[in-house]
Amino acid sequence: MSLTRDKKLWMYRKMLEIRHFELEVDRLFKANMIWGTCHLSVGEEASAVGSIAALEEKDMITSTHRGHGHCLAKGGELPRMFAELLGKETGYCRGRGGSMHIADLEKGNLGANGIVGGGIPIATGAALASKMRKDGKVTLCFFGDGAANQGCFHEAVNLAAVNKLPIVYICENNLYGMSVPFRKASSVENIADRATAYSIPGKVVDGNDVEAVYQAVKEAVDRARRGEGPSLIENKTYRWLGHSKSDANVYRTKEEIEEWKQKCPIKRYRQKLINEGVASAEELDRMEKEVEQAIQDAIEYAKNSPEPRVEDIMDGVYA
Amino acid sequence: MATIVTMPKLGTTMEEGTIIKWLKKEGEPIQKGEPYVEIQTDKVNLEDEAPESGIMRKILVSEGAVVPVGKEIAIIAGADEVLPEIGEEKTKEAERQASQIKSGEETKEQPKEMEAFEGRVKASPAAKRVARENDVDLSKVTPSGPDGRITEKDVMEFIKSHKIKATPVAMKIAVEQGISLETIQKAPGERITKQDLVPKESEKTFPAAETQKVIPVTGMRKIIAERMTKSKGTAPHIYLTLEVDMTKVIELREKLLPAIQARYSCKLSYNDILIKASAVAIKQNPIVNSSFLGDEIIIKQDINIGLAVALDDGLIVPVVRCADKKGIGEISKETTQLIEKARSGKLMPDEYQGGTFTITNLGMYDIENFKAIINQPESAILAVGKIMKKPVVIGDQIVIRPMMNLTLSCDHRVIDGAQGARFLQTLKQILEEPLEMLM
Amino acid sequence: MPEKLYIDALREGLREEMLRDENVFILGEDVGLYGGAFGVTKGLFQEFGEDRVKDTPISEAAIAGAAVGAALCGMRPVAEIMFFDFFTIAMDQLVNQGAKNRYMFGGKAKVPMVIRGPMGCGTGAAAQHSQSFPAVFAHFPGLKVVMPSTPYDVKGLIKASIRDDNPVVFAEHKLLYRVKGEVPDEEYIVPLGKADVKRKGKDITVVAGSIMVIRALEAAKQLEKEGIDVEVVDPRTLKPLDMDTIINSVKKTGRVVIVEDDPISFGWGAEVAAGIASSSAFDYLDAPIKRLAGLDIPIPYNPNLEKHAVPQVEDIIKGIKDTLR
Repeated sequence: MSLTRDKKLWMYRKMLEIRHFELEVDRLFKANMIWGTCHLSVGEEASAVGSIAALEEKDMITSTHRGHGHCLAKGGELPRMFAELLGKETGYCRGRGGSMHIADLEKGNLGANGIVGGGIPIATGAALASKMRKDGKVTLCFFGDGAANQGCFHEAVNLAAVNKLPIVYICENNLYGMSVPFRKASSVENIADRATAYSIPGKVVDGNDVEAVYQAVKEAVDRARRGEGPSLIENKTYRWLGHSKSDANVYRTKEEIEEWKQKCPIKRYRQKLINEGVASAEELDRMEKEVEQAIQDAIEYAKNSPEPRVEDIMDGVYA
Repeated sequence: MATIVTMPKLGTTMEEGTIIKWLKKEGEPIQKGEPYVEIQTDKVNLEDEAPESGIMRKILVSEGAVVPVGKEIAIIAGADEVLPEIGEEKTKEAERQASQIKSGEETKEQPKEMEAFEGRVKASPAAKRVARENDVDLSKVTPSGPDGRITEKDVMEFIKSHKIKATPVAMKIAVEQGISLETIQKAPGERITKQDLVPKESEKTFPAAETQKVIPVTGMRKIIAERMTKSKGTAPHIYLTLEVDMTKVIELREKLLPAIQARYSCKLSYNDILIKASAVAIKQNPIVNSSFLGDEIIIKQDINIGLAVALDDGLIVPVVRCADKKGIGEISKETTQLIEKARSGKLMPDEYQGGTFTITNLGMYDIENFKAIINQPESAILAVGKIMKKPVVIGDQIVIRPMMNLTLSCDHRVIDGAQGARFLQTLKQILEEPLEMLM
Repeated sequence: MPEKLYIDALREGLREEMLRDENVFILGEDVGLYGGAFGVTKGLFQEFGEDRVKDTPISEAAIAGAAVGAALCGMRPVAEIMFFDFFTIAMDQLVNQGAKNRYMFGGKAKVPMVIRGPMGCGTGAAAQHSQSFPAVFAHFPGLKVVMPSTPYDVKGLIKASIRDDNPVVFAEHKLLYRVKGEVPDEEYIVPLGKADVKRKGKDITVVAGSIMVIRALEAAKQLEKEGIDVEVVDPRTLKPLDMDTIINSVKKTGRVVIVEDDPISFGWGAEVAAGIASSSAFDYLDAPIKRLAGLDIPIPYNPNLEKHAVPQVEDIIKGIKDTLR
């Protein structure tokens, strides 16, 4: 499956967007402008972007607590994202959700999730709905290596496999469930190996290679759309920053982090695009400037947005 | 067993009573239900009936004395019975019992003692509500509920029985003479006795002549003295006066007089019209209908207009309830009855309590203009002068018109000058165009 | 009016909604060919096919979660949980996901789903298959909780629940399945949040839910012979809770006994009692509010112990008489 130039540049741009978004969030958090906590996906951009690049616009995703990248890749708008993180009325959830609950139903994003593994049955239900309505939609279900050890992972993947639901389970294995190393929490070498247990395809992918991710997910999405059932894809990646904003990062060495930074998905892709003649360094630099500007504009928008009104606190509990 | 009789509480506001006359002397036999003492409360004179039969063994308080409610006044007991000690000894006994309870002995008596200790009447919320609505003193109601709880039914029965409670003799006389017992007024919890139905002998006696008359300040006099002093002392009074042209009120009264006479058998007075007019004016100026409670001002919903009635030895203010909702005829009938009852000392507490505004009229004594003291907890009182023909200028003409002065005394803590003035102005407009009352 | 069994009326309600709206579907364990562990879905598999009457693995979290996901995508799933006790296995999906999606997404999402199952003791199923705890769900904002007591109500309320745009917990007492009652043939709906006066009376109000309505009515019938006129109010839905009907009844009678099937501590009866005590009915109370409910114990197996674990007709009679003293 060959990628068009536009698609390649879109992927590069989205990764830049996510990277700059996350770094700005980190900065705003330190400036005490963001309440609560945030889970940043710096270093994992290729997984979100490569996976979602394989979707059609009508398709759906469920996301995780580390979900900013998924949301942006699925068409989330920077101003409304920042507004939500700043708790503003103009945010995706009118300031009720915050970082862990951003949902963008119009774009097919069924929501980030504060419960590890919480989105897995929901994505499965969405796929069940698609199958029943024959609407041709595929659902991508993102979750981490930690979530793969939740009971509902097993329940949901089994349910989807039995019913051949149009869903692709994407495990973003960043090697740590908060502080506990993957190898101490999971008995398998790869989460994808568990696919065998459900008689579905499983595939391990270099999660920092955006095109590799794209190719693997595209294959699985096509299979799902054909009605052949779910797949399990494991994007091996790494988060550069701590688990959350309260993580001192004591369980990892500086060397390990540095090593993964050398595998930066964005740097790698930039080199590839230049080498293949898809774009010049100048063009890519210009693109980065545009992204930075868009992010600054979005922050301005969020800062100037109104606070939610206390009078409206009861809104939206019931439909 | 000896019965210690205490000063009964004969009205919700009664805190003390004056022993007017002992109807039984020491050593005289006494039957349960028989009147034995005449007591004056703040408002009325009442006889108390004996709670037990026996001999009036000891009178503890002499005639004319003022006694707080609940204090011992007499002992009724058997002829040879050893009398209990009153006062200190009794307290000691109570303490002794209390200490026994604390040490865990005689636990059987605990509930009763605890009740006394808490000093609270145990009643259901519904019973409390009904008692509140009907001005019933719950301590007088006999409980039927578990653990001595007064229920709603108990209060209803109390109210019912209180209305027609009469001694057997009284009932007999009532039947013989065709008197409806419901027309006889008694304080809550009091039985109608023979004395209520026939004129009292004691009233026919004449006091001996003296060179200097000493009047003990008791009962109503005392209450008036206390209340007026308190009102003047606590409420900063402001006085507002204006003159009203009574031409149209006089016309109105003449027109209505025969009709009301025919329908209600009473004579329509200017006061009746003033009550109605004031009620209508209050409705437009509700601040006048209020009470000052320190932290809050309560604006009353009901407009209950009191009318000061002079008595030989004081005054009393019977109340026309919800005057704004009543017709002039109805008001007239009610005031006629209330004044009659007031003068004969037969007013029931709910007929003189709960007023929200008072009118006092000294016009019949040729008074042109005067300033009244506010009848607390109300916040304003209207002083009405005589209607007098006076030359007044209307347009550019001097004409003779029947004029009347109205002076409003307001509690400045609640009502400011302009607010009081607006009320008076409204009242003046109504009286000068009395048909407005119909609007 | 024809008389029908509770279970048949419930099935009729499900069937009518499935015929009316193709987005309505059933999922759960053994709901297909088997017809559900208690037979609620019997025949629906044959009529609607396996896509709309879907057997699932024994995976309560997945059942509840799939219902949430499907509902988010516009379907109207009715998930059956075989025993109410197993709702606890589905708790995260129900409470952290379904109940909260709409609010935490800023009022955008709709989660029109029903999750239903049989609760209650009386069948010797012991501690893990006999619990009644609908009140637990009433504690979570975002959920609605329904507990119908009669064949008429169960049909009208399941239809209203399916049409509601929120997640609805639908609690059926398993002893009610075999209770008979009048159910009209023509279509009707019983709205959520509307209590029902099951019997008019003037002496005392009994607020009872689910199976306890049946027992309270039997108690009322027996007390009638002694001249005691009992009013029985059935809240029907715990959330939204129709306090107005309860308050009006208590204002009329002045006395109230609340009868629940749940364990007494922190049960819905406490909520009702607090609602009465803090309302205008307070001034009409002529006796303390009385609560009758399950003991604070796991449901025991032994039939005599089991019977004593929750209020029976004679307990209700005694409770009423105590309150009327």
